[in-house]
Formats: sequence, structure tokens, C-alpha cells
Amino acid sequence: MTGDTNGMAGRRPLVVDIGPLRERFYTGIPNVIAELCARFLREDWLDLYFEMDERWIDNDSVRRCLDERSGVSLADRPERFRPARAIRDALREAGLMPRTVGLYTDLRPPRKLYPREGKIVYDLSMVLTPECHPPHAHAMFVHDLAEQIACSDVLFCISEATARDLAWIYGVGAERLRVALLGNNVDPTAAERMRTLLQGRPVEPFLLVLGSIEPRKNAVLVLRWLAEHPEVLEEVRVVFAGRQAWGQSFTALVEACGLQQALDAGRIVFTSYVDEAFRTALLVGAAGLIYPSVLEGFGLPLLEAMATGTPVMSSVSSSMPEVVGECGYYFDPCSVASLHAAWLALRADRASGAVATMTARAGARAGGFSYDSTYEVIVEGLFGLKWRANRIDRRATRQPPARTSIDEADINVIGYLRAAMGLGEAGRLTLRTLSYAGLKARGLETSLNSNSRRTDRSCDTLLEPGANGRFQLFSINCDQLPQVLAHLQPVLRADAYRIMAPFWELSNLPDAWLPAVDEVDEIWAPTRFIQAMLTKKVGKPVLHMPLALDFEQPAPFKRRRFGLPEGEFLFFFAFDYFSFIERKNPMAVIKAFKRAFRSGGERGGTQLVLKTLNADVLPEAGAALRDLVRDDPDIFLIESLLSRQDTLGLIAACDAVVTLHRSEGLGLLVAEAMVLGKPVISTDYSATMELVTPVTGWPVDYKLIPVQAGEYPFHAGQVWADVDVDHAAWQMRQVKEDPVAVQRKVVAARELIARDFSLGVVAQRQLERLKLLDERCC
Amino acid sequence: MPTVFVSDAILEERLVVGHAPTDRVTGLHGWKALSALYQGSLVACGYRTAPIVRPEIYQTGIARRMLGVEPGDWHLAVKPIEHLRPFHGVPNVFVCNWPFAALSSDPLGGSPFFDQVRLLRLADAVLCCTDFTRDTLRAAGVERAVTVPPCITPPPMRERDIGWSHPGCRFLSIVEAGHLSRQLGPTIAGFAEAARLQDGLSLVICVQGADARILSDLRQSVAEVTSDPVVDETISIIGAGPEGEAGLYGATDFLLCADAAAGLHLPLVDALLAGVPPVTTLNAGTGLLPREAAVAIATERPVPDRDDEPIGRFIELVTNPPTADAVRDAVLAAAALDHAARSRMAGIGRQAAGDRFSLSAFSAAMGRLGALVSLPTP
Repeated sequence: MTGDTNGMAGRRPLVVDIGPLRERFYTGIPNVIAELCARFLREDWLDLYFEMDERWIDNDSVRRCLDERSGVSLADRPERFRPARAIRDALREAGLMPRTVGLYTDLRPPRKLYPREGKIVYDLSMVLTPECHPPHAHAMFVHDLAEQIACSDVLFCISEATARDLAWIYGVGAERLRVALLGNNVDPTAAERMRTLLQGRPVEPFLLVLGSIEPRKNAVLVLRWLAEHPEVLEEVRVVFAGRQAWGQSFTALVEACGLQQALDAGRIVFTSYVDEAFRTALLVGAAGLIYPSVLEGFGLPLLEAMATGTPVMSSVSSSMPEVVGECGYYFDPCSVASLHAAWLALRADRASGAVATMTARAGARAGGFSYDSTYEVIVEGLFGLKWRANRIDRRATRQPPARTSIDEADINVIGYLRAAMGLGEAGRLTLRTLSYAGLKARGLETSLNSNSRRTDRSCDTLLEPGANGRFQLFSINCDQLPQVLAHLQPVLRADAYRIMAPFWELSNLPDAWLPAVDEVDEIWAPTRFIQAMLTKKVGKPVLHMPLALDFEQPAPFKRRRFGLPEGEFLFFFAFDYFSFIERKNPMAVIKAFKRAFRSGGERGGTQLVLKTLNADVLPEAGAALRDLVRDDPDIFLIESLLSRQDTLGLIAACDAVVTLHRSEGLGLLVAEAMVLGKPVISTDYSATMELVTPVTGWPVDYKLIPVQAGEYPFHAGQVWADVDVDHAAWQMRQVKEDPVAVQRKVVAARELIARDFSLGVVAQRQLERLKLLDERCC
Repeated sequence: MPTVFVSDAILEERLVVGHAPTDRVTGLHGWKALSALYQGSLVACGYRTAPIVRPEIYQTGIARRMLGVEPGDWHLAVKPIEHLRPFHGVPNVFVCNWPFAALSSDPLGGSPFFDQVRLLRLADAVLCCTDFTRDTLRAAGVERAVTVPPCITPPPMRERDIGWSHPGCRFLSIVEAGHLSRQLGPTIAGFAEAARLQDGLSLVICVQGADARILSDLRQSVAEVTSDPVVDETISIIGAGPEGEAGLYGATDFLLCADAAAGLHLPLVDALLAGVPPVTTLNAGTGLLPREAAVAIATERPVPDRDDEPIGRFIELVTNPPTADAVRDAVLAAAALDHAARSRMAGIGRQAAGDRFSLSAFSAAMGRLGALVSLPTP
């Protein structure tokens, strides 16, 4: 018997009360329960029953709600659902009742229905702060809460603070308490979409106050602050986004604080309820989030802001420091002066640029909150440790092991650390960044299945023959990881916490690579494009952890060293044949170049430099390109193997970089060009979008087309960009003809790199994440 | 010296907007006065004090760092038992002035804060205002209960013209608006009866925390009880006003205190320190003063408390009120005392109160408290 009445012996019956899923929109608690239910539904060892409002909700109906992120469908003909008592009858008839476990995700009956029961407790604000709630709501919540708590075998608290409150107020012993911190399921692409819509246009600075208008959310503290410090409103607008709940109306509060004029003038804005898209847009554009709540069980909006890259000014109350850690600007929710001090700190950091470091750290911290961990704690609490022992290790959320020796490395980076290829360079950058962060970072080089030349010795001093650290970071792609692990197994510490930093250039992760994900504990996605691609299929933490774009500036090169003409305007493009010529799309570059500067047969003093790698290893492809450009005196093809410094010098010797790729997982060439102060023209798709915006470069329009068989591995169901060559040609002409715009955008690009991708920022981000993992370990 | 974080705000007082005293708590005035006394006592002993509105919300090291909490600091909560909340991470000391013999040990009505015994046992120390409260708590299993009343200094002795009659017959009652039934009880009827029997008596009833409506209602009930314009004129009802009780003792011969419940009655202590002998039930005076320092009002059998004590909906709280006849007899007995007897009585009372509520006594108690809060938190 199962929740859908199909039998499967040996499974554990679990009855889940899913009251919160009746909500129209799945935000807040309904979103939490949706995350948990999605995981329950994936378990083949569970015999699931869902109950809501005294009805037995079949599994398919629950799946539909999860798909739609809404409980609206449940309201349609509720009589179609059987009464919930039928669950108990069925379990009794099948003799399963003694093995049945119950989970209550909201209020529960004040008596036991199943032999073992758990209840999720979000917060006790109704009990602790009755003055912040309507009297009837307080009475309804509290009247039998003691009994609800007493008859629950295990209580899942969404923060340490809630657990502490439960212990103090109701005397619940530690043996019945589990802390199941909530997860971060912020869709990184939503924020990216908003950024794209903004197109880098400046946004008038505003502070965002999220939360409904009610005493507990404490928006009035912000109003009082603004009343005492009207100069703040001259500098920023303050936007209050949240529905009018209970207590004094927002307008009454504004009036009481003497801020009517500011409201009328639009310096204070009240949006009332905002939907998710609007909320994301507000978060993306905000100079900071103010969260003045008096008491929270967790503080999801804070996590949301941190994941979005918005600085947070957070109340220091209850659970909120558990979420924000040392990555925010705190204030006392009872003190206007304290809020003002927090604002001054944020303001100073905005002026100095230090806020970027803060948000980078916050982003790394936010990535560490996973619903997998939440789920894990709940399943363990309901079914006991024995269940966990039967699971495959790395499918479960793990913690790093304890240090066993003072000689061991802090972290080992495993990758193609000598290979002259992009992934090898990524591994070396990671190793250098971790060292820069002050960690004892050591490399373990592999060349398994790699055809690239092992010519880069820049990290040799950091290499060791084994990996004995508690953390292992694999700069290896998903397709190769299982083989590399098997190959290096004798020299790898077995219990290390494993992190993978993979690349993949298309928007869907092939299913065939999912086993690789099971081999690691978390993933550091070098770009948001990769992060979005992974989070669609991967249930474990996927953090955005960019590569530090830091390298030694090349010595000045004379163009003649490469046989290039002086005095001509040179466009540059480079690619590796191993990276698939169809994807790198040099043909489009050549077409665009010709269309831009050859119309009417004029040459116009502009030339194109193509630098390729491994043409000799893939001779047919190399020959095809050579044939194409052989007779064109303005296209220079450089096929010789260059050192990294020489490659950078070559870029520096040219005037602009153009890449019309179909899709990029990273776009190292673009990043290098920006660091070197070169204008960049790039397809406005995939990872390079993070770097090339209308503010920092010249993005090129495209349309998405299916990837054809033979063009790229795992092509089925994949799409990529077909660049608009005319637009590319137009952009190339702009670069050549508008030096003022070039100057402006080059400066903006360098600022972007310094803010988000500098060695210090990325090192801090990595360090923050590892420290957070360490805290959990300890 | 360490900082003591003092919390005494209750319910709506804790909102950023809405600082008006809550009407959901009776006896609020008395709690505020008690809190001010403890804070003054701590400062006099060299401690720093800092107000904290919602101690329970500062749960993390980050929060404590923001508030400037240092090792050795502690938290003092001065409020009714059901409003006590902890300050996690620092020793919690609760002040208790529970005036009844019964204590709840169950979450009555579903409220965990009505399990008084459990709540008080969570404290590192409970400072009881009287030995009566300490003994009640210890009998219920609250082992860390100690008697530590605040230091109380004599009130100003200047006279305030409130229409007294001649010396020897001037009585003063100071009651709280939230405890009229318990503290005033048969006072009016008893005094009116005495005034009918002896000329020249006058009584001023000062109501703390009263609004105009309460004062008006009280005047109305005086008129109904006395039903005699002449007698009616002998009883005046005044609010404490912005001046508080200052100046009231200067021209008072006796404090009339018919409180039906035990616990620390601050006006009684003030009167003793001001050299005003009390005419009092032994409930209010229990443990505070020798019998010869007061004119006693006899009390009758226990009756259910009639004040609006929140927990009184669930457990029977009993008080020992006097009868009107007992008040009348005590008033007449006091009025019959000559000046010398009154002075002797006042001297004994002042000495007793001075010893008990002195700074040195409080300071010594604080020394002992240090050892108590250094023990592992319950």
C-alpha cells in the first residue's frame, strides 16, 4: 500500500500534514514545505500520505501543487479528496500503524495519532511577543500549544533561537530538539534576469524595507529613524514593500512620525504587497535591505538578499544573526540610534567599495544554506540514525572531518595544474587564490584523459603527490571526475569534504553526469550561468564562486614580434580546437569582421588576429580555417604554442577583442581582455553576460537554436546562441569609431572586475565559505 | 563593576511606538517604582545599569557584542512573574514580590508563563522583596530564592497642603489603581464609621496610577458608603499626580494600610522611614516591623482575592482582608494615642525599616548574590 494505494512492502509509512501548501503563492513557510515535500516524493523507501484540512491529498495532487508553486488546485472540489481518517484506517488495516511516522508542518492535534511524530516549530513569537499579534490570533495559536509540544516526539526548529526559546519556555529537553536551518532556494537566474533588464543603467539609490506592516515586523522603527534623520531621505529613497497586515496602518504610522511630506514627495514609497518578480527587482536594485523585525524564527528575506548580492542591514534579534553571520550591518530593533549607526557603516562601505567584499561574503554564506540539510535533519529526526547509516555517504549532507595532523593541508586543489588549457588555468587560479587567502593550499596534478600539453609550471611549488587535507577541491569537469577519483584514490584522503568546480558550456547538465555530483559534497560554480544550470538538477549546495581574474600584467610587446602591423586597428580572437570550433564559432568572427570593414571593398586600416591552440592535434579543422583565411591579407592566423605571458601580451598588443561564441561556461578570454583594458564585443548569452553588459562592453544580439548532432557532446535537448552577425559588425565598427565610448566602457569593465573578481574579493569569499563549513564541523 | 541589564517593560510598553502603560497589567505603577528602587540601589553600590526592553531576543554572541555585554554582567528582571523573560548567555536574576501563599506549578490555561514555579526555577537567583515571598518560593521548590529588598531612602518630608484636620487625626492611605479591592477593601467603610464616632478624623486616599475615571468612581463609592455629607468631607481622594507621593508624609499622623495580601508595600516602608507610624494589617507588615511599631488591624478568615490577577482565573488566590469594624477599631485606637506614644512608635518603625532597607544591607546581599549567580545556570 502507498499513499496512492499501490503496494510496496518494507517501506516506511510517513503521514505529512501539509497545511501550509494550501496557500495561493508558495513563499515563506509554504515554500519550505514545498521543498521538503519534493524531497519526500523522491524517496523510494517512503510510503507517503499527505493530509490537509482533514483530507487525504493524493500524491499527484501534491506534485501538481509543487509544480505550480501554488495550492490553488486543491481548492477545486475538495470533496474529491477522501477524509483524512481513511489514512489511519488504511494503515491499521494493513497492519502498518506501528511503523507509521507523522510529521506536522503547522499546527497539530493536541493528541498523538501515530507511534512517532515530529512537528516543525518556526518561531514562538505568538508566545513571546503577544503584544505584536492580534489577541484572537495569539489565543488561537497558544491555547493548546503546550499539548502539541508535549505529544511530539521530536521538534524541528528552524533556528537555534527557536530551539532555545522552546527549551526555555516549554522545558523541552535537548533530546527532543533538532535544529533544521532553512535553505536557500533563490533562483539565481531571476536576479540575473532583473540585472539584464536594468542593462547596467544606474538606479537611483534606495533602501528596501521588506515585510508586512504589523508590529512584529517593526517598520515603524525605520520611520522613526527617518523622522530623526531626515537627511537620509535626501540621499536615498526608502521603499516599504509588504502588505498591510494588522495594527496601525502604514499611512497612520507615517503621519504619527511626521513624515507625510516625505511620503507625498515620493522619498518614502509604500508598495503594499509585491509579487515575487517585483520583489526580486526591488532586491536587485536596492542599495540595501533593512530588516527591522522584532523577532524571527529564521529570516528568509535576509537570506534572499544575501543570495541576490544586496547588502543587509539586519535586526540583531533572535535567529537573524544565525542567518547573516558576520556578513551584514546589524542594529538593535529597539533602538533608532543603533539603526542609524548601521546605516552609517553601510554608507561608509558603499563609499569605500568595501561593501562588495561584504556582499561577496554574504553570497558565499547564503550558498551554504541548503534545503537538503533541512531535509536531512528532519528525516534523521523522524526515522533515527540507523536510517542514515544505510545511505550512500555523499548523497547526504556532510561536514568536513576534523583535522588529524598539523602537517596536513587546509585544502587540496586537484586538477590539470600543468595543462595549457582553460580548465588547467582555472585550477591554477583557484590554487593561487586559496593561497592568497592565507590557507595552506596544495595542488595535486592529474593529466588523466587530457591531451593538452603540460607546459605550465607556474604552480609547481604548491604541488604535492597526495591530498591529505580536510577539504578537496576538484577543478575537474563532471564527465571526468569519477575516473579521476578512481585513478587518484590511493593518494586521496577518503573522508575529506569534497568540492567540485566544474565547467559546462550549455544550459542543461546531462543526466549521465549526475553520478559525478554524488561524489562530492558541494559545488562551486565559477559563473552564475553554470550555477543556474546545476541547480536545475542538483540537490546539494551549489555556490557561485567566481574565479579570481588576477594575473601578472604582461611585459609590453611589439606587434612585430608576432608579425603584426603597427598602426592598424587590430581585433583579436583566440580559441582552442579542443573546445569545439562549432561552439567557439570563429567563422562568425570572420564574417562580422568582413561585413564591418569590407563593405565596398575598402580595407579601412582594420585587421583581425586569430590565435588558435591545438590545430596540429585536430589537423582537419585547422586546415579548414587556414584555407578560409589564407587569401585574406587582413586576417592573421597565429597557431604557434605561446606561453601564458605571451598570450596575454598578444591580447595587450591588439586593440579590441571579439568573441561570437555560441555559449561559454566561463569566457576567460573576455575576462583577460577586460583586465588588460581592451574593449570587448561578445555574444550576449551564457557566462560572458556577467562580464559584458552595455555598460562594460558591446554585447551582440542572438537567437537560440538547437544544438545539432555532432556539434557538441550531449547535444540532445540543448540550445545555444546563433549570433546576429550584422549586429556584431555594427558593434565592431562602434568600437573602432567611438573612442570616447571605448574609454568609458573599459574603465567600467575594470571596475567590475575589481569589484567582483579581484583576487582579494574571491579569496575572501572562498575563505568565508570554508570557515562556515569549519564552524559546522566544530 | 559589571553592568546590570534591567528589564521592566511589559507588553505594549515594548513596542517602538505605543509606549503608553498597558492596561493589561495590574499594579504596573508598583512594578515601575520597584524597578527604579532596585536600579538606584545597584547604582549606589557601584554597578552600572542599562535598560533592556526585550532581553529574550538577544540570543547570539553577535547580539551580546552589539549590546556591549561583558563577562560578569547580568540581567535583572523586575516585573510580574508571567512577564519574566531571560537574557540568554548572561546570568538571569528575577525580582519577585508575589504576595500570595499559593504558586502555580502548571502551564495553566495553556500558558507556559503561568507555570510560575518552573519559570522562577530557571533563574540564577530570585530576589524576593520579603521573607514571606522567599518562604513561599522555597516551599514550592524555588531554591535560589533569597530575600533582597531594594535600598529605600526616606521620602522628602516637606508638607503638602491637602486639607488636613488637626494633628493626631490625620490618616493617609496610598493605594494602587490596579489593586483597589485588595489594598483599600473595607478601609472607607471602616474609616467612615470611625469618623461618625469621633470628630476631627480625616483620611486622604492617594491613588497611584489612576486616571480621572478611576478617581471619579472612587469618589462616588465613598459618597455611597458614607451617605453622610459630614463624614463624606472627612475622606479625600487624590491622584498621585506628577509630584507622586512627595510631601504627603510631612503632615500625616498615620499611614492607614489595610492591604489584604502580603508582599512589599512600598508606601508602608516610605511611611516608616518618614517617621509616620502605620495602622496596618499584619499582611502588609509581616516581617517588616515589630508589633510595637504599628497599630494592628485584625484580619479575618481567608477569602478569594478579588483583584484582577491574571493567574487568578486558574488558581485560587486567597487574601486576609480586615473587616470594616477592625479598621474602625484600629483607627480609633490610633487616634487615641498621644504624641509621645506616636513618636515612640514612629521611632521603632523608622529604626526597623532603616535597618532592613539600608544600602549596606543591599550591598551585603549583592555580595552574596555574586556567589549564587556564579553557580551553573539551572
